Amino acid sequence: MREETKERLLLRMRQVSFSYDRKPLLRQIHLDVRPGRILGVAGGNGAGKTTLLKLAAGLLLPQEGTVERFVPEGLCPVSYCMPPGELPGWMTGRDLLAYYRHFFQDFRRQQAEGLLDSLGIPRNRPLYRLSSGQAVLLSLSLGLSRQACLYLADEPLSHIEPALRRDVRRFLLRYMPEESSLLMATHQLGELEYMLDELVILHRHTARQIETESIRSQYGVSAEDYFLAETGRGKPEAGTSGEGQGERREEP
Amino acid sequence: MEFDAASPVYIQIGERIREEIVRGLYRPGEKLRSVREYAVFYEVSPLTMHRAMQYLEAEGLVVTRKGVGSFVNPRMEASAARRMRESQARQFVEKMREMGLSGPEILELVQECVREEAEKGGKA
Repeated sequence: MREETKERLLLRMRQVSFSYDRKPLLRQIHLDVRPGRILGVAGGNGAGKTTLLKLAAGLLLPQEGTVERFVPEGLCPVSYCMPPGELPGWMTGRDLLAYYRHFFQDFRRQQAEGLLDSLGIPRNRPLYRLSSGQAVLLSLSLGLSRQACLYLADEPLSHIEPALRRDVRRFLLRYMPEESSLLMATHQLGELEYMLDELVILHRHTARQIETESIRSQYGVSAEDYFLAETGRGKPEAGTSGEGQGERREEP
Repeated sequence: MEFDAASPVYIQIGERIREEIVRGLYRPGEKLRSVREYAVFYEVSPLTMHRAMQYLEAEGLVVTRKGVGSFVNPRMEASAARRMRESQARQFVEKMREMGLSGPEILELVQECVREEAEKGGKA
């Protein structure tokens, strides 16, 4: 092991590799999650965003390398905010509250109830009958009502109409516990970049972690443009798809 | 909230709050909103907001009392507010120079604007 920095971490991945059917998806990646940080995981389709989250959650085990968790006392290691699609659609808010309470000892039911009420989400309506925005806020309310040091969210803004995205951002910022961190996979980097402290770029099976403020101060570009340049997509131009072409090119 | 993507967000927020302080939205000694409230308002991470507050502290505009909150520096008025006004005025003068105006012309322009504003205010 290399010399440790004194800095506190919640999660440390070292040389983690993961393949599906012998097709490598992630190769020897590293990831550090420090407390009180919001991290965005960006990458093209199939770059391994969800796999990375599941490795962080412990839902997948690395085939090589190590995933270490450093859990402050009184907290649980992770809370994976299940996307509405992964929750049983027939369950009502009340059912889901009971479900979470039975499954997770660290679930704060009163907080979750308070959140649902303040968001105006009816507790007696099945999940599938909620609007997509309400369904996402419900799933985030459940996830954030666990006492975890690391929260995971997979594409919290997808399926949400642009007008409601601000609500989701503000919801996360308002209710994230202070010393905990949030790791979220996202396609909508432009919608999230100002609330991200760090960006994790998945590209060609590797991961690069960089602070968004250093992207802005060092390179003078937005996190989204930086991501596009790093992954060989460049700025999207009208009329050209451009994907695929730039993908294989090796940089000097 | 819109930011310039090409420069650090904590400085941009710090500058906005500085402007609010200098414009008198907060009195010296008044408590500012909490880091969390600002973070939600600006839709930025709490860490970015902490940095913005540290920036304002370093600039002498804000004092932070641990566990209590951040306050407008009660002794900032004289120095920092004045510096801020001066730098705004300097920027204006610079811009007018770039447009090719001479010193007296700039003064005349300012006088005219002030007079106009007073007249408008008088009518209202």
